[in-house]
Amino acid sequence: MKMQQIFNETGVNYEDTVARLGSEERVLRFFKLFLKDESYKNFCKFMEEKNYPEAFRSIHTLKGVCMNLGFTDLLDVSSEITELLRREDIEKAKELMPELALQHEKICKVIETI
Amino acid sequence: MNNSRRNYILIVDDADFNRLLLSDMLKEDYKIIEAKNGIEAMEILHQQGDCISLVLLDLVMPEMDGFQVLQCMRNEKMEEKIPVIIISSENSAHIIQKGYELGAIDYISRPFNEMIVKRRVINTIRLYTRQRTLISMIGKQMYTNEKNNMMMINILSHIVEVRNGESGVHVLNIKAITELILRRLKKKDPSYHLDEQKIMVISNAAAFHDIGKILIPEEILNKPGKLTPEEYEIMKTHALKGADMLLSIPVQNEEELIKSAYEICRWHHERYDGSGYPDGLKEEEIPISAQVVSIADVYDALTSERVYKKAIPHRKALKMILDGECGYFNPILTECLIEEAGNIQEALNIQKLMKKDEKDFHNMAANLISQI
Repeated sequence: MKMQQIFNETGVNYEDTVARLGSEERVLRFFKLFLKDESYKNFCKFMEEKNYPEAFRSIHTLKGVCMNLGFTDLLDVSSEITELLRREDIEKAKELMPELALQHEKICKVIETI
Repeated sequence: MNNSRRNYILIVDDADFNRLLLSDMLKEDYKIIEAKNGIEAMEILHQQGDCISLVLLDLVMPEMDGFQVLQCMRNEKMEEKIPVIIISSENSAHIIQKGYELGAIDYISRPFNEMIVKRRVINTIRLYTRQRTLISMIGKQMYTNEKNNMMMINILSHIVEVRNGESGVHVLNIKAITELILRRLKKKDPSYHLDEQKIMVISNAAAFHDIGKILIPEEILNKPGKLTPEEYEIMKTHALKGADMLLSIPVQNEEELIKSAYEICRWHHERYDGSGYPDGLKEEEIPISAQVVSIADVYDALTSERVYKKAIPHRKALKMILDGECGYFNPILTECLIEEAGNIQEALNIQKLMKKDEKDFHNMAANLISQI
């Protein structure tokens, strides 16, 4: 399916997600909603403000959303950062932020084109 | 008993996205309430707890996290009524275990699968609804049984009393006094193993203590003066005769009520120092049921008007018992009598039985079930 292909290239497991969430309509609706989700934005903000407890919560939330929507690539980097922040390894977490930005950007672009 | 409609599901998660997703899956079949954190969740539970059939609970939340919510619910005894399923993306074993230990009934892991979410939700709700319904049915049944039993006992003992020439409240008084003393005794000395059930059985059985008197000639029963030694010996036989009658009842003698009634009938004239009748039992040879009824019987006999005597004032009656003028009783029971004197007076004055209402039976049923 065309959708599947498009998403595969962006590290999104489309087929699986549709099977899990019940319908394509719901999946696409929630993909669009993802664009409005603020957890990524909040994460970056809190990291800048050095508010690490809140940053942890934001990246933890983002991780959960990625799990539900099948955003596998974004999930991988979010998970890693979540665990790093849980261990309070701030420096390593910061190093992964560019990758996070990259994956996030990729997904948002694709969704916008639907 | 309390069949309010519980058809709301409370979804607790700080991420709008997650609440939305779950809500989307469930809103077809249920009404949804949402909370962003533990504090909001507890507020909603306080205000609308009776309408909520299930809580879907995230763990990582600001203000008050999922673990704290579970602890709060446990403290406020909501655990038995409202099931909680955890919906966190935390998946380490020790976190899951902590959730279970704090009372969560199930765990739905991410990523969410609509079919699984729906199944788990409906199964959990069904389970709890059935359990509540069972408890309610059993409670009602126990209550009805007890009411019917008490009615029968009251009617029969009233008939016996009329035949005995007694006032008609003697049996009710004995039941009330017996129950009050037993409750006090339960608090003072656990070694008598008095639980709720036993107290009720003994109090009901107390109604039978004088049934033997229907075999005593009327002239002796209602003689206005003092009895001759021969008449007194005949009178004393009511204890054994009553017990024998109970033995010949075509009901299983194993029934607790019958066993208790037998003990009371036969031995409610025994005394702690062995000077009673018919068997001269001493101290703890006398079953506690008979011990309590015997002191209750003496107290009530003293303070009531009888065909052969006037009523003795309450204080004087207590003093007579304490001074051993009516025989020697177990000291702890005389203590109980004194400590409950106020309540006993009240009970006799307004003939108020300690009524168990339906709620008590509901709680008893719930207690029984939780021990399974």
